[in-house]
Amino acid sequence: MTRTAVGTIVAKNFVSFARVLADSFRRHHPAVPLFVVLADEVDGCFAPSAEPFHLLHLRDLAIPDLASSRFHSTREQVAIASKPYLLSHLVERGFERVVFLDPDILVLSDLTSLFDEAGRHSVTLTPHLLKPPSAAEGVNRELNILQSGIYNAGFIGVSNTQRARDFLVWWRDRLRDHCRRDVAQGMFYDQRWLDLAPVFFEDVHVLRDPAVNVAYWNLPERDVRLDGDRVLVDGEPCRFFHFSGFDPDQPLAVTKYASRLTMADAGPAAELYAQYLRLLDAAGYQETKAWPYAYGHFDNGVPVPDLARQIHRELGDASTGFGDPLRTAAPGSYFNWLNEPIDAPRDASMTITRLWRAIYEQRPDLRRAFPDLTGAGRAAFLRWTAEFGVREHDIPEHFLGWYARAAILSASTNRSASPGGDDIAARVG
Amino acid sequence: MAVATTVAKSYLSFARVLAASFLRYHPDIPFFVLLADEVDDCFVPAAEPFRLLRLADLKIPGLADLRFRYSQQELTYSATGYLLSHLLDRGFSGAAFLKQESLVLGDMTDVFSTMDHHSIVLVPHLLAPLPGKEGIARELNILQSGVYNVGFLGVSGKPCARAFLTWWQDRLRDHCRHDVPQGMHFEQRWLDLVPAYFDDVHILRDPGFNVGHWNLPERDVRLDGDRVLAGEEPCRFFRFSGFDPDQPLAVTKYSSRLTMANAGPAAELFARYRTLLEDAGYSETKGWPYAYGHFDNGVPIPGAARRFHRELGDRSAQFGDPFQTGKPGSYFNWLNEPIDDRSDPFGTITRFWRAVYDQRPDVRQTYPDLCGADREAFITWTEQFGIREHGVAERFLVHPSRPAPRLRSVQLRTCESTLGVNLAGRFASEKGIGEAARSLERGLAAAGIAYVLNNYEDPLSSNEERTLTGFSNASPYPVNLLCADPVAMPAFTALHAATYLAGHHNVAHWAWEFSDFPRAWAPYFEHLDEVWVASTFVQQAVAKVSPIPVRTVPYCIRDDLHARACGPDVTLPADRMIFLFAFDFASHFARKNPLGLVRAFKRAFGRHDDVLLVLKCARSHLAPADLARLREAAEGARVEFIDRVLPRQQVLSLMRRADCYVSLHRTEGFGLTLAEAMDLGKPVVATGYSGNLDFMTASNSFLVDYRLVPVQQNWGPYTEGHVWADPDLDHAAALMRLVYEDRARAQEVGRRARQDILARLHPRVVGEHVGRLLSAATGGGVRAAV
Repeated sequence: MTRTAVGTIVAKNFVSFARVLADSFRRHHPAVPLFVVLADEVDGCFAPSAEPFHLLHLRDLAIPDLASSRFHSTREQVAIASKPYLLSHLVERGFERVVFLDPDILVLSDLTSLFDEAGRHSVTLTPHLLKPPSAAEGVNRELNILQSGIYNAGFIGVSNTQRARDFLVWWRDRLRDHCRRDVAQGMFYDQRWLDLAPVFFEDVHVLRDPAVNVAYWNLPERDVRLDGDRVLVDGEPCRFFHFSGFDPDQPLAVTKYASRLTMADAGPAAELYAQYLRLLDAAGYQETKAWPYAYGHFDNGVPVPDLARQIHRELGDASTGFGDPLRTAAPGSYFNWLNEPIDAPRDASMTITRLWRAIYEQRPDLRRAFPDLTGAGRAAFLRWTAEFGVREHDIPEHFLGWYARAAILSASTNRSASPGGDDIAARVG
Repeated sequence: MAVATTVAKSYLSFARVLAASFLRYHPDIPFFVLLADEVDDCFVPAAEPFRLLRLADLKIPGLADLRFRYSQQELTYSATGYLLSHLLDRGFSGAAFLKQESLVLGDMTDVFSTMDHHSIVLVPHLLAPLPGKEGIARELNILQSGVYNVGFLGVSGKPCARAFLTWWQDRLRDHCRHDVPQGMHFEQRWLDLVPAYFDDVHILRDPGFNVGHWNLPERDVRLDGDRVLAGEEPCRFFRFSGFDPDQPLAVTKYSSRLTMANAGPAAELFARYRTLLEDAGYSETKGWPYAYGHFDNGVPIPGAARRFHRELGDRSAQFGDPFQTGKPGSYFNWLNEPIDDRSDPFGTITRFWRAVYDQRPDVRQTYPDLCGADREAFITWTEQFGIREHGVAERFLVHPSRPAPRLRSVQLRTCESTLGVNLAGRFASEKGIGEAARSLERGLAAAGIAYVLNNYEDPLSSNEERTLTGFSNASPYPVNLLCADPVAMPAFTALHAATYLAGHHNVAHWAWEFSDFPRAWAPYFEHLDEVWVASTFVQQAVAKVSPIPVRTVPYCIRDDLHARACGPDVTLPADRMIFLFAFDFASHFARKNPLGLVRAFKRAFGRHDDVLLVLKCARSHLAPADLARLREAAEGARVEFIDRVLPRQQVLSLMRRADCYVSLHRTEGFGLTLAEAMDLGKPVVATGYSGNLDFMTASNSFLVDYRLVPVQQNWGPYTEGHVWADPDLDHAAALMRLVYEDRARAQEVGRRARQDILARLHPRVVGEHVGRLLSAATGGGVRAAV
């Protein structure tokens, strides 16, 4: 019997999705192990042994410089970039066929034929679209796909061959520093790199089965019907459905990635979304969604802004002097370094910190609006940090200087008392 | 089987070379060339080594719009699907597209056989991952432009191929352009979808096929006599994508990574290709005009207008043929209509510029309130940058309510002599205005242009300059050239309009120093046909307001500067390094900024004994308070004041003695003393702003950093709201120290300065320039004597 394994990756807040996926998978393949990589820490939120899946930690996956890459990446990027390591890990453990599935997938029927096909090739991919969309807005959908990748990274099949290993090594190397969204540069996380796979590596199979990886992007071309317990696609049993971008707290929206789509557009599949919502609820979505991300805060409780991760990454070797970037207490800590002033103004309350200067240097519009950070320009820039900077860059208010916070305070006390003003008053002084 | 390529006329030589190379190996396979253009009698199709196809032969729906909406490059690429469909329609069992800049180097039979077995044949850019950081960057380039290269594309007559062509040609009608953030790279990125959509696709993995700059490092191209190899395989199809025969040292204009120097043996192949192109008539064909490049009134079609037409979609149908301009409802006229009812001459925004604004997120960010506070600034942007950045003819700057350029027919009075110039100015004045007039005289004389001198005394000058004499009261020549301040115009025209200006072609050479010209002075252009100014800095300022042409005519140096005998010298110590600055209090103390200079000098040298700053000034009696401030600032440093009017000879003497000339001006219309110092081979330290940048560069002088600050007060005609430079005194101090410490470098800079000044500002150079301008203006009426 060919040894097969399936894997997915979640942070703690997506554990309910992993449960639903695992349960749906076990219904059809009770003997095939399903592994869940936790791109996070358990931190006592749940009991791994009680879950319907095998738990793996990031540290089990032989990811080099894990502490560093965890800090440099957003939560999403940490999960995505560990994908090739998960597949390698399972192949090294002796599984001959390994399939990665995104956590927001529901298995709906037997996947044996899918496993067989994946086992016949080194790498198996599924395209987002199998044929040109016919409707007028079809061009925009195609352009979307051209921007984000021909093949969907929510399904990857690999078998135990040298070519598969070569692919995984190349892919994880690309994801180390080039796993982000920057369409103009040709990047869309891990997914756009897959466009090159069928050309770079022989024996990459493009699986063209409409019953596989049905999702919002190809719904218009696939005839989805519910027939009692079964879900059919173009008359054939649907293998799995991919609820990409579905937010259980916004159940009327099909996906957060295409706001124009509503459940009315989903046709019979809308019922499937409703079922999925109930499954997630039963799997503890309301509880799990609030579980905190272990690598999301400094040890003083301040959330780590994405910008801080980016600055640390760009420092390269120079960042090693800070030690663990999440530790704040030491004088030479990264947190303190970010909050150090860039100069010594006469009025010490008007400090501009390294963090805000980094933003200034990234934003040509700010440099035009505040060309001179001395004198009046400085005060105006500091006011900007409080009024707009924190929101635009998602910076916790802890990074605001005294002057900026006082500016908000005086602005809000000049208006009638507002809750926001009171909060700031509580923090300042 | 048939094979085809597409070219516009100017690329016909490429088509000839490709066709000949293909037919050498496959004489029996028909080779077609689709002309994305019109023949327009530039060549004889029947005499070419290929069969010509025209766009009209391909039954492309909406072709008329397509020819307008796409640029030449976009149109060429967009027709590929229709071209292949057409060949299949004609009954060929298979069709292959080869891109124009290619060479067939070997037999392609096996590739054509593949096309018998598969519906679609694609060739990838890269066959394997690339190593290292640079490898990732190159892979990202491929992701941006497409996994497969459209330099070769093969289709069979099977339904799968037909379905592909139907889909592709439809996509290319509106989405064949370069917009990477939108997922487009002309026609090529669409091919990424092909292996997903169609299951009978063959990916050709032959390293000797489709070798180009993107994979050249990996393909190990070698030449062995007549054979070309890629590794061990024969190289059968080579792509010269982006190769420009007029830039033969560059492998491709699309990337600077590769040069011929590091291209290895392949460089020889490029050289051979270039020869083939030359032999195929490249030099002639490259100049053939693109048939769809202009409106029918001759105005080139800007890309922004094409794009706007495309974005209008069906609404563009109301204009009819977009190339036609004559009728009232034409697209051209519609583009040039104002967007609202702002009726003041300089506030009109046309639909065209509105479209450009909508296409430019960076411009929108800079001028967010287009119709309100940012209106004038945006209009200025269109004139200074917009026309250049978008390749727009000046015709699009003629706003309907702006005064139309005046083309006066000059009824010349009977001339007593042959053609020449009546040069009017204050020739005796020692001030800058006198220098300007004398400079123009030198230029005319050096170029051998006939002239008379009409002199006007300046009551505010000492008028002791007697270098020029022989003034005349007559103005016999057809061209008047007035050397003046703009503010002098009303008085001059009041006195002389009827007697002097009427019936002449009138040119005024105005002195101005700021980056903006007062709009209130618009009446000063009356009676003039042209305005000349001394620098491009001033030209840009005046052109914003002027209804007549504004040209740059610099001052010129004296060509006898060095031969002039030294008169009684001003005594200066011989053992000190002398820094010199000369200025006139009446030409504004604030603008010349001697205060800044003194401060910078102090910072540089403190109480050094072996340096001296010499300030040659004049007319301090006009500004005693300023002089007092200056003297006070100079206390404690080695500064010497020469506060009197000196004859020009002695000023030159001073300059010859100086080791370095410094000017920390806030703005200059030209900076003649700077140029003269450079002509004397002196290193010059000066603010890197305004008119002096026409002749000062980082190699021939020491330019001081600055920032722009508002002009705080009314300085005579210089109203508040203007800006000028605030030079960085620390930087100036550092540069003066550099000159002091590194004499060799300072001397080298001075040598370079003299070379550059001679090349640009020698009287003969400027005089010839004047001659050309006058010839153009009067239709050849002014001729320089040979």
